[in-house]
Amino acid sequence: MSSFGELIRRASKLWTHFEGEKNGKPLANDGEIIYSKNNVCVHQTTAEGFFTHTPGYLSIRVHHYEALCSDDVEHTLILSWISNSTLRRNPRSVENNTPCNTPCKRYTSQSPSSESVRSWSAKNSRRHSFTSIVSSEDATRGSEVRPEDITAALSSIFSDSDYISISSCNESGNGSKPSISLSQEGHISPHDSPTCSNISGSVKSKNSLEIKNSESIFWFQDFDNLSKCSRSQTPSGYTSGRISPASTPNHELYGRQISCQNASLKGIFCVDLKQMKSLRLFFSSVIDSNNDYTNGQLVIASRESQYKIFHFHTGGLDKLASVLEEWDFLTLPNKSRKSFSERFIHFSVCKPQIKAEECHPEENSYVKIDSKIWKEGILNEWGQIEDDFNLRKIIFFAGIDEGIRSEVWPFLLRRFDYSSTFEERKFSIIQKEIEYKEIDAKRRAMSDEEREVFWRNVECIVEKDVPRTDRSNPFFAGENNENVEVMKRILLNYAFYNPSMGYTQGMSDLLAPLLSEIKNEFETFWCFVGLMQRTLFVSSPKDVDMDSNLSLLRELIRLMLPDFYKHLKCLPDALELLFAHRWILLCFKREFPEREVLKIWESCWAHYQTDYFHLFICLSIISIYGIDVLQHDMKADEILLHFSTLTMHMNGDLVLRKARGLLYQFRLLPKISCTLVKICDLCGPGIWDSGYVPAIECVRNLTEKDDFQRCTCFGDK
Amino acid sequence: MSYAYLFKYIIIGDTGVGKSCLLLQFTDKRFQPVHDLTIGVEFGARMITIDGKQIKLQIWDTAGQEAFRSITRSYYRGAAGALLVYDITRRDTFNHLTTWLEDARQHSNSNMVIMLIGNKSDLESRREVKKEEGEAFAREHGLIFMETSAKTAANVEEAFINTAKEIYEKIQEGVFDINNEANGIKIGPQHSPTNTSLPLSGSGSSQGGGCC
Repeated sequence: MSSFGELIRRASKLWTHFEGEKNGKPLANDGEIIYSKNNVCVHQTTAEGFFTHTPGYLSIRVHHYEALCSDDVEHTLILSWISNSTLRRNPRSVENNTPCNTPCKRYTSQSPSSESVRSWSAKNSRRHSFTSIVSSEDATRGSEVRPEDITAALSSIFSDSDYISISSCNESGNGSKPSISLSQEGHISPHDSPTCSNISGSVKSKNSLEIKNSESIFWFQDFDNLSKCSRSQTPSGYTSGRISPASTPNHELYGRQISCQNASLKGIFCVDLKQMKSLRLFFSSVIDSNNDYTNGQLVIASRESQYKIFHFHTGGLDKLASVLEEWDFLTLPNKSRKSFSERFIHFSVCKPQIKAEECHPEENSYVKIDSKIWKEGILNEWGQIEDDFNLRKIIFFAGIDEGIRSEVWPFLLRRFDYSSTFEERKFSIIQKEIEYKEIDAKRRAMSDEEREVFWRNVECIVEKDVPRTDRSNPFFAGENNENVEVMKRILLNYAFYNPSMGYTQGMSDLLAPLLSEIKNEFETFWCFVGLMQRTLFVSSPKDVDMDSNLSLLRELIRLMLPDFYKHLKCLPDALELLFAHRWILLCFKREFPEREVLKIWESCWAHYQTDYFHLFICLSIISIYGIDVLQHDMKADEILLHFSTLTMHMNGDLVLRKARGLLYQFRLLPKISCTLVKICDLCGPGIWDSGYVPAIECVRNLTEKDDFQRCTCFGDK
Repeated sequence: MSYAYLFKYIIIGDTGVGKSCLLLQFTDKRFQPVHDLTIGVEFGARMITIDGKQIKLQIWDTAGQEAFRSITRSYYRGAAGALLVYDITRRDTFNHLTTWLEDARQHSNSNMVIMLIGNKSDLESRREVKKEEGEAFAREHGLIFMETSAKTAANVEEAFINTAKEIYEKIQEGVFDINNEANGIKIGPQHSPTNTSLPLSGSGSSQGGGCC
């Protein structure tokens, strides 16, 4: 088999060579598939990082059409994705969908006979049955199929043999940079609707394509079942579940849906890439077994800034990048037709990978703390943590093992002193249990009048909110779940214990992960007390906390991301940073899957080098995912939409890494403005004799608004 | 997927009155008895047709609790329509309408169309607010009124669409300056003045209409 594969690879290289000699002429034939990959996922996200993967087959094919202004044949690329379940239900289904708004459809839609079908079944153990579809030139030019086309398609099957993936045949068209212009609105008017694409509803069943991913490394199930179960059990609005087109087929939500309703019901997505506004490749920060970055997401934005996100879990994104780079003519404006210089489509392929120099120099120098390290390396024989600075530093960089969260969190949340011994903690637990029970008893013994007020201000809201929190987490799932009652009691007792804070919506979101890790009711309560009181990203009923966080963030953006700041400054109301409100309020709880959120929380709780690490996370998100905002000149509303569509689609590990790098850069600044002094506050200098004290510069007169904060230069704090 | 206009809506009202469920029913045609708590704002959108014109409703679903009012206020900016929702089974939520209305009037543009909605009309047995009371409140404050049920979908379509009709009429009457986006109305990309040379008929858009 390997020799056969080798043969094909060589054949396709020859083809490439041959093509390369054509010198800039369009190289690929109409209908030629230049990239294909199976098990590309569309995600329906629920809470707790529980994803419904909807795997499908993604392909990009060349489409020729006649330019309207000349006799030239122009090229575009058609991207289509078909969910596996659609394929399974209708094995002889779909390929060459053609988006309705392809500028000129003469070639393909008029000449279906030009498509020829070749089928090939893998007889090896991978059990793929795959039929490759190779379209030759259109009927007017004759419809013979060149062997090279098939070669290219086949080679795609053989490359990446370690994976179940069918990866790209990016050799074809190598070095090809045909000079093709973008179609412009206003010129190719009747056809060129600058909106998202539609799918011709009819499904051509000429071509068959079957993927039996029985060896799939994911827990893919039938999409329908999955979505059904997650619909009945999971309140999806919580995450972007509601936003994802795959999960809500009828739901045309701003900023997401690209394909039309019927199509997404069928699990089909098909667009003319030339009609899209941008195409972005987000590489995951996790390297694969070959030490390479091949996984990540492909984000397609329509000109209306609607998004579609494809997840590459089994590699292939790197190949897609190289294919698209070869086809980069799409990004270049046509110089010969300068009259249409208005709105060019951005086909930028970017890798928001962090360069080494962006990272904290100590990145990767620590190993996460597991049970063994915790017991043998961190705690001394009496159970004390002698060097909490070191502990916090390791947690900041590497985190802790899931299994010891319930042991470590109480320290981070100031439930226990680092210097406390086993004995002291044992005693404290007994004491605090009694204290909690007293609070609980007192709350239940309120007078009728007090009870009435408490009911109105707290209880009736808590009662409504608790069942609406994290129900997809197995710990809280199901009817009559006792843990839901426990969560309710903790919140009520907290509001009773600390009436000035009371209860604010969002607290249940912060409490839920604590309870599901620590499990014990009263210990969770005291950790929650620590979380609410000592950490700075509290969900406080007072606007003042949020305002002070947002002011600091605004200043940080000004300092660290000046371009983004400039953009915001030009817009009305954008400096209010509405998009960051929920990030701060829930400490990113709803922005990332829970696994990543808890890592982020731990790195914030570590209070390493700053008490405001959460603001660096905000900065990091903006710097990684905010490029679109500048490129597309988004307004305040659009920025809010942009970031809310990225909910649960961002890479938490990458964000965290970048955030650490940003903190490092911040600490290198010789001088900071007086408005940022607070950032340097620390819960303790750790092993150092002094805190970190950079030179302070008063910018009070430099800032436009005087409402930043009272200037700390004058010692009022 | 082209549209002639885009209207920005905002849904406001006390926590737990069913704002997110109304939105979900309208955009997805389904009901979720336990809907996750809304923090900040969430978005929904749907295309509707009025007077033969495609109109895209972009709906901002806000959090209901008092603590978030300061932020909710920012969402009023540039809204063309607001659905003010109360729960017919909880009188409190009806009593708070005045506060909501004051907020809305203060922070939105004066032409914003407000629809008063008494939700959960399926729970007749637990009704605390009579329909007449809702009607009276609406009359008094110049609002459109409707009782809906996000659960049975009763009147949900109507609530959103009637609001849109009202806005549309205001545009026809010239009350709204459609070129000022602060009014919560945007002209569709193919309809915008910069692209006036672009014919709307033609095969491209007619095919598109068949799909969406």
